[in-house]
Amino acid sequence: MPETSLGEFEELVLLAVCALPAGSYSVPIQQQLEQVADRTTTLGAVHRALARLERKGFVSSWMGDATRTRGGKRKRLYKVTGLGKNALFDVRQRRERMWSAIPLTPTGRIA
Amino acid sequence: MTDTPRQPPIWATRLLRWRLPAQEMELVDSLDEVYAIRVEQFGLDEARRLYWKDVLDLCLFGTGRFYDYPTSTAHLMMYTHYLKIAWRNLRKQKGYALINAAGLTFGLTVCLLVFLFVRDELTYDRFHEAADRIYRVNQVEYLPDGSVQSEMTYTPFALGATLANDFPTVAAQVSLTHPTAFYVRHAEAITQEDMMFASEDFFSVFTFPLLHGDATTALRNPDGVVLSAEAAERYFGNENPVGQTLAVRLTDSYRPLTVTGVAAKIPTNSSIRFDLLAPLALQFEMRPFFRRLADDWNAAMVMTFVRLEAGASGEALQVQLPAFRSTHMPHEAESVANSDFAVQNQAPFGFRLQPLPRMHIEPGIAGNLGTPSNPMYSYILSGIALAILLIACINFMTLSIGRSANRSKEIGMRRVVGARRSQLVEQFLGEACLLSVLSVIGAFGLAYVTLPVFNNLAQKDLAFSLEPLTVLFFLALALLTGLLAGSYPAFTLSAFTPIDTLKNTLRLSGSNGFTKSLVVVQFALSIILIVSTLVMQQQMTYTQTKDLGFNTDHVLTLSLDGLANNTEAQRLRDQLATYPSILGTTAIDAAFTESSRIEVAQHEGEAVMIHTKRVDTDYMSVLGGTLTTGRWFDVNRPGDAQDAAVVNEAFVRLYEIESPVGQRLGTYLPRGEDGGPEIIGVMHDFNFQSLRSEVTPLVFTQHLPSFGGSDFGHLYVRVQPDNVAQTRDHIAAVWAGLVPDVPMQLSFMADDLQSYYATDARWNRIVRYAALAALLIACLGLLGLAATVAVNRTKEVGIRKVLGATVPQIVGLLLRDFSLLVVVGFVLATPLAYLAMEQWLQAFAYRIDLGVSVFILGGVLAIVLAALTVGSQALRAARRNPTDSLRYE
Repeated sequence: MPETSLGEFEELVLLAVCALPAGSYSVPIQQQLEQVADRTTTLGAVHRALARLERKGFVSSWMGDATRTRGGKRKRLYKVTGLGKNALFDVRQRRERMWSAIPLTPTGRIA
Repeated sequence: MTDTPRQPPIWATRLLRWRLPAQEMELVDSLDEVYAIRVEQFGLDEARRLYWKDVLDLCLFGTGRFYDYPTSTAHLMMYTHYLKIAWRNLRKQKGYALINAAGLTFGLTVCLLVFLFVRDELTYDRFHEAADRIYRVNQVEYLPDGSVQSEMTYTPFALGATLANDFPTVAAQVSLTHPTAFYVRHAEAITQEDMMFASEDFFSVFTFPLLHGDATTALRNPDGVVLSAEAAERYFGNENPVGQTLAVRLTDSYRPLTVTGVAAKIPTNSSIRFDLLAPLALQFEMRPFFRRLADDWNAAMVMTFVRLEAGASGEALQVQLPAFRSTHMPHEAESVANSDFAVQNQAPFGFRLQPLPRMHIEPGIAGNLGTPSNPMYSYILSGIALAILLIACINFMTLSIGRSANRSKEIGMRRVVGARRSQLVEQFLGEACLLSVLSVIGAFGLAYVTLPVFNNLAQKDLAFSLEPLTVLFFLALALLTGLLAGSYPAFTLSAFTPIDTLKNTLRLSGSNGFTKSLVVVQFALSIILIVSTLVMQQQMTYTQTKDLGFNTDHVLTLSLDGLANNTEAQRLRDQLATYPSILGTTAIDAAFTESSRIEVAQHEGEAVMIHTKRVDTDYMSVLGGTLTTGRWFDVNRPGDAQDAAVVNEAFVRLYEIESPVGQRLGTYLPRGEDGGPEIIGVMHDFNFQSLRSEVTPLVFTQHLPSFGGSDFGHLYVRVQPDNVAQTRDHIAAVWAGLVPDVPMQLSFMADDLQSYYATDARWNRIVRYAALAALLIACLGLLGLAATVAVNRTKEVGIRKVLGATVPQIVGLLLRDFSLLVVVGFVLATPLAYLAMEQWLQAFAYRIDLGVSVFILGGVLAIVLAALTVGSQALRAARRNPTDSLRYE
């Protein structure tokens, strides 16, 4: 049982971080969420979730190089940490165990 | 907001740039990216909408990192610090802070009082449970084209019951008389009480809870009566009076009535008010002619109210009323069979359902309850209150700037140790809000204390009751005011750079075109109000002193109400005549200041009101007046008693009569076959009505039909001026000897005549208070301005002093610049004041001329006050030690 819990939205964001190459920033992460998880969010929500994940130690971040736009700001880039990977794995394990205790129909729905 | 498709909404971006901390500026670019993607995916509009959503989300909820808000706890500590500093600053500058707060407190108090007034006005009669379903049925008179000629509340007795019978949507109905004063006797004391008579179902239509007694039966027995809570307390103290008796003088003897109920205190905003409420059946019992008219649909005697069932529509019922009327009053249709009415298919009369809550705000209906008022007053008052509040805010602003001059060093130091500009803004806004919240608390207190005065002015009985919602509203209003008022100084003061402040090269921006013109406007307003007050006062004095054309001094009016018949009246006159100080008495059917019998005559297509008075031969010697031609009634000519009339000049003018004497009155007014009385004289016009009206045509006769009781309603008594008090006592004694049961009503004719102007006197007081208020506010505004300017010119003053200028010289210098402002204000005010007063005076047929003196007086007053205000600041500046002012040079 991990000491710090992982909220539902945070879990999705973390999964997105994992899916993308290391060093991605908030925009591709948000796009991943929208496209794959079908979850529309504000960019700020994603940004805040990433900050929380960092505080919990599940991701680490660093400032990337200046962007090519005029007066471009350096972006904050994220990658998942080992702690984060473990947390995700634990969460998935827990889910699978719960699901396996439920009788299912052949198509996968709950009987 | 036209931006090229690739650019997100500019204002949103600007907002974002402003609110984002420097470290998170990357988000601006990130959002641009997202925007571009969304334009592709969802289209331009959706992309823009989502962009705004993102920006607001970031502004409100922050970026989640520790140096952002509102998640950080550091800010909480900062706020307590700001509060402490704000409090300290207020205490350091007690004088200024007090004046500043006073202005705002004043503005908020006015708002609060006006709020109470408007709320009372607009919620009249809404306290009844079924208020939305209760209607008063009025009778309307139409013109052939369908427009309303007149409306009255008087309806037939049978109307209510018949409506309930014919229409199932009418759940309950009541017939209600208008309040009349009756004498009530209890335990040897006689007082006058307002009494209304109602049919049985009064309490099922209206919501007047009973403290004692049963509402369903209280009005069943003709001998029962319901008391108001105040009346019950007056007569019976705190005990339950049900079952006790009171005697009421309905005809010419006292009839005992049993108390069957006590109504709880009637809310102040109720049109229906009574001390005693008795069953209508009692009137039927006591007055035969009521009984005769009980089923007469032509008689219009009482008000009729109906309560509809839940869910029923008043409009639906209204539509059915014309048919209802022709069913029960078929003769009306016949009477207009061949007139314009028939051609236009318009009934001459109709019933109208008037919603109960609208009774108070629809003046102009004959027989209205209480004094309906024009909703315009509420709007005007609200407008004035808001204007005052706005001006108070602006004064708050300039004063704040003016008194913050000393804080330039503090501001500089704060910037040096690292305060962001936004933090300074928050600090100053916080101070302003603290002051404004304190002001609003003061305003509640001040409003509570001044409510009685306000009630007096507004003729209301407002209670200082505020729901929690209202209190919250005013606190929010105060905060908003603080923010508004504090924003300007907050932003200007926080803009100082540390270098500016330390070098003391500061120049406050509180003195500019805007604030100057505001001061001008405030003074102009004050002058207008002062001039108005003076003019109104002049007109009031005029009404009191103008020669009205008949004797009004040392004439008393004695009501003959209560005397049984003419014999008693004559006995009274005989007894009074023996008293040496009484120079004469004359009887009249109704005093001039009471209602007159009016005949409405048609003249050249218009309806004209002719007043008729029944008098006696002694009239001339008591009330005076001159005859232009002819003679007055002569006691020695028996024909005069029945067959003579005297008219006034206005009557002659109206009908353009060449030689009135000798003509028959019937030529001009409907009279019997004999042509009516002969005109024997023409009286010079005299002002028996308010000076607002021209003299209306008047006909005196000695004979008019009477309604029982004494033929005359009042006695005019002319007395010697030197011992009026004793004469009064003598009259009282004679009266008591004759009619011990009835209290005497004696008044001075001069006072009665002044009652015409009661409203004007009230408005005069209101304008006077408003003038004082405006002056106060204007001086505050000027004070702020003067303070700012004095600060700005500190160095200049210092140098002048060093070069040898004296204090008076410097004061004069600073004053000179401000005199221009007041002069401009005066120039602005004068034409406006002239127009306004000219307009007001036009309502008077007899009025003063607008003289120059009032304008001069108003101007002088304003200048003097302005000089004092500015002078105080100038004196302060002039007294400063030059070494202080020039220290850093």
